Amino acid sequence: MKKKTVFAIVLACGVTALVSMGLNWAGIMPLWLYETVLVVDTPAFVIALGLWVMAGNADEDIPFIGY
Amino acid sequence: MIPYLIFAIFFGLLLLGIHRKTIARIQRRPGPPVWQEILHMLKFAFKVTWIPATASDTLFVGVVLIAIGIWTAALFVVLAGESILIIFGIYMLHKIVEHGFGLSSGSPYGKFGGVRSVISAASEIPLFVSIAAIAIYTKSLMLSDIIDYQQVHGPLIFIIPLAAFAMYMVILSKMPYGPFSVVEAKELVSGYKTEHFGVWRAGLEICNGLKSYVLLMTFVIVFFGAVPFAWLLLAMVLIIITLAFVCALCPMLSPFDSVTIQTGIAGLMLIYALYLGWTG
Repeated sequence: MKKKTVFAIVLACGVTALVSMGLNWAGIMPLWLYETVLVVDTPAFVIALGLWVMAGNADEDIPFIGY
Repeated sequence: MIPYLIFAIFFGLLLLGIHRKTIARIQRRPGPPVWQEILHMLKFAFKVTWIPATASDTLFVGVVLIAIGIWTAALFVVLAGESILIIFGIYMLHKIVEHGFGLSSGSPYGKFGGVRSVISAASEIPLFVSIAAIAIYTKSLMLSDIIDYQQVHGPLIFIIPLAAFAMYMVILSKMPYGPFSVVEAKELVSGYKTEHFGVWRAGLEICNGLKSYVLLMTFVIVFFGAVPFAWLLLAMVLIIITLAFVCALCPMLSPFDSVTIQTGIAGLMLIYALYLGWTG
């Protein structure tokens, strides 16, 4: 995946989570919807953040697959 | 919720660090610092990452996302005082996730770890028995109702101690370096997570932190009731230390023995649940 795409995911997830937190705090978004957003956002944010910083451009390796 | 979620991840990883440190001290080794698991997660998060050539890309990445997602959902379920059956369901999903981790990479070590995860499914039966015993007494599976019941009748650990023991065994079966940790035994390198490195492993570490936090918090809430937050954290630390004693003093069992003992415990717990149902 290109770094640009991964950064877009980081940004989208981060902004969505923060906006949801704001909307929930203001009483506009119900708690269950806010939590649902976090359940979807958190894994994507964590993985995309790591990939954005350090995704390898080298060729894939072949792990040990048995004798 | 976001600050609490971040806190749960870091505190869960700290609990695993305390677990590891306690095991080391019991075995007269210095052991790593208690924040080692947090450092592990941060280190892996920023290592060069790719997907192995032999892996199924979708499954390899998908299981990591699902692993974090389901335990994030579990945390919110417990905080909302919702049904303990949902936690049970998520626990079952985690078993599928472990299997997916093992099968996705193409490595035989991972596959063996995944297969061992499936054959040790007997470790989940005591949780079912524990839930049945709780339902017999509280007439509800909602965590909020279980808390209310304990405010009137006292902690459930004194009313149904064997159900607490059953759930303790379930948590023990998920602890690293324990007698039932056959899914990540050293003869399999790291078992189902052998080929998940870099950010994928960081995701798995986050999942493990959340899982430890959620399971221990659920245990405290279900068997001790609503306690102040500081007491909740202290209780979680004390439980993880007792688990560390078991892990330090019991050797890792062979897969066959592990399944046999887990099945034996499950059988005893089933008899206990039937007895409670008959007398209650």
